[in-house]
Amino acid sequence: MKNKGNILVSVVFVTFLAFVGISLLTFTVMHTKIVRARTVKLVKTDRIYQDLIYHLHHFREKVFNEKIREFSQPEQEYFNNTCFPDITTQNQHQIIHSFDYVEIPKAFYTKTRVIVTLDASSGTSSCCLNSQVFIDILSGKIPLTMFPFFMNRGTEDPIPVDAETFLRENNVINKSDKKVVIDDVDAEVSMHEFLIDALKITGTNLSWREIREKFGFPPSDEPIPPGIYFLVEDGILEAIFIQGDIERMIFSARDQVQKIRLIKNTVPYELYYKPKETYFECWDYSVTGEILYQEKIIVNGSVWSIEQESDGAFVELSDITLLVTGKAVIRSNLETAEPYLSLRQSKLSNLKLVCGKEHLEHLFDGGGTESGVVIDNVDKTNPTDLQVSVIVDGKFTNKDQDLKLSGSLYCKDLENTGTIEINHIDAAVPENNYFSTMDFKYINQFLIHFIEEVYYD
Amino acid sequence: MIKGFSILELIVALTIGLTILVFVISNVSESTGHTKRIIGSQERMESIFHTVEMIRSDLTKCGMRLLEPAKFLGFPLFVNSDYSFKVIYGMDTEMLIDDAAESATVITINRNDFFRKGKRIVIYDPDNRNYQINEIQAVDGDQLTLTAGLQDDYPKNSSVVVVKEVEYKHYAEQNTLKRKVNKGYFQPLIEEVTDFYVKFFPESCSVLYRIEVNKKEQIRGYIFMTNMVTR
Repeated sequence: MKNKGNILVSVVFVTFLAFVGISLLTFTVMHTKIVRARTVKLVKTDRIYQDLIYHLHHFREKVFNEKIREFSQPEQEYFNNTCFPDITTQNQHQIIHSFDYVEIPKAFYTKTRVIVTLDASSGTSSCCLNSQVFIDILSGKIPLTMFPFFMNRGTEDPIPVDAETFLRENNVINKSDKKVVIDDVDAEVSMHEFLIDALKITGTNLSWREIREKFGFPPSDEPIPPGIYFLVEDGILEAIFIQGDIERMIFSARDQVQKIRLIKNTVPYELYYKPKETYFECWDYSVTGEILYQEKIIVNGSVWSIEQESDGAFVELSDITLLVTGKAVIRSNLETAEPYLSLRQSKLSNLKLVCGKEHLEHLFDGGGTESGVVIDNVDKTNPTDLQVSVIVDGKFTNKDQDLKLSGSLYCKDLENTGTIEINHIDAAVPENNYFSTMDFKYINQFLIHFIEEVYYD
Repeated sequence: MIKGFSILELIVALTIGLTILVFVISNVSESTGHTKRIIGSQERMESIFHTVEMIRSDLTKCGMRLLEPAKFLGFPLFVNSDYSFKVIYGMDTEMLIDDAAESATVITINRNDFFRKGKRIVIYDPDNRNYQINEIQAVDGDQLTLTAGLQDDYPKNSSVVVVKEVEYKHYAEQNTLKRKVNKGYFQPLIEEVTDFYVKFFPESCSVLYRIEVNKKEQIRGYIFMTNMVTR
């Protein structure tokens, strides 16, 4: 009886302890297994991510290194499974490509959006990564302001050079995610057509006779006298035409009013307007009042100093086209004044500076000066900030140590004594495409639309 | 003849028995306490893992399908303070099948289950730099009726994205980290959170987070926002 009692107590005690211990152990083992499974899943997913991102990087490099303009229909001839076969990575992950495209016709060019879908998976994990990339190919007459940096080297330049080497050797830094073009490309800087349109000349013949008629001078083939002229038609100020050099052109902005001060032969002239509104004021009372100004300034000569006054040169809605046939020298920062409320619009460059006189030599001699844009800031202590789209049918010269250009640069020759940093900003879409490539193909965007985890049962 | 226990034997047996009983009870209660603590700790770890996984998932998706219009959207895709953050991403994208004129309230897309009544959408045209945030009022096949008329013309092939907005916020007084989706209410995600910290590093597109639970367990790390990188 005594023995039986002892055994009972011992059995109950041992069973209880064993139950508690085993429960705890089981729970801990289960928990450990869950934690391990979760960790393994995370590691596997992470490896797929790494492989996919690595592959996307190489995919982008391959696409950007391809001369896309050599294909007549790159969306079919290049973006297919022959050029981009499905692959198995070193970590035994499968990456499968599929291609589709949409054509979006524009006024002067066609945008083809190639949609590439990439599926990355491993045989051992239920997780799969699904990714989509948009590649926008522009083909046709592409506006020159859509390229961050376009150096149109002539055919006489004997040694072709790749873009990266050129940028490195010339201290040009491309901060945008678009590709630069350093090549010999057929481009159109149609000053002639631009002037015919800006001066509202009927027909295709541009001569002093037509220009004189527009500004009310007696018929003759002689140039008009030096001065500043307004071309007003149907209550719209189409353009300001300046015959002869300008010493200073000073931009400033206040309360959404754009101000431009011109100094010609030491005499100051001031004009004020609200972009896209019927408000214009200047020294000539005949063109003051409820007039819409189309923001075109044509200088047959050179502008020896383009500057900004106070903190900003332009109001946010300004879209000024300044055409100079001689030299344009920028001597200060040119920036947008404090933006105000147009949240629904992205930033566009406010000044399109076009410089050149090709096909106009018979008409404009640019004051006898070779066309070109020179950056020579008076303030040598700080970096120069320019928010300008520059199109120069000649040489672009930077004399500053540190130039930050927010906009775009098209030129035929470059002289750079400092560093040029280009951050691409588009210009407003022009109604008439006078400054564009002829027939060109360009990858305007490579965008990873998404990378998403997908789980299969 | 069976002889009974003497009083001395009984006292000794009782003493030994009671000693064993006290030992057993104390051990059992101690092991029960340990079990509770271990289970509690494991449950806490589970919920921390769950929270971190959810945060990782949302941060990884941040900006997804919205990077193209992000250039001209009037709001950021990631907003944070020390104790809260909000991410915005697209659930799915479709393209307009037909042109949609200004002031129109009906647009046509391919039928897609993500596009449901009450969902917020972003409609954008990258070439003309127009975008608009709107809400789906009704769905009829491939036609979506919007709560507000379009402010601009949207040509065929303009993109329409269903938007999801997720917000995390630490309620210090309640020691609770809560999560909110779209226009819903904040729902508790993890309790006993004694510290929560988030810092965004835009250069590397990553977020440093720190979660401290019950002033004991602390998890911290960097999460790379994969969908915020365009190049």
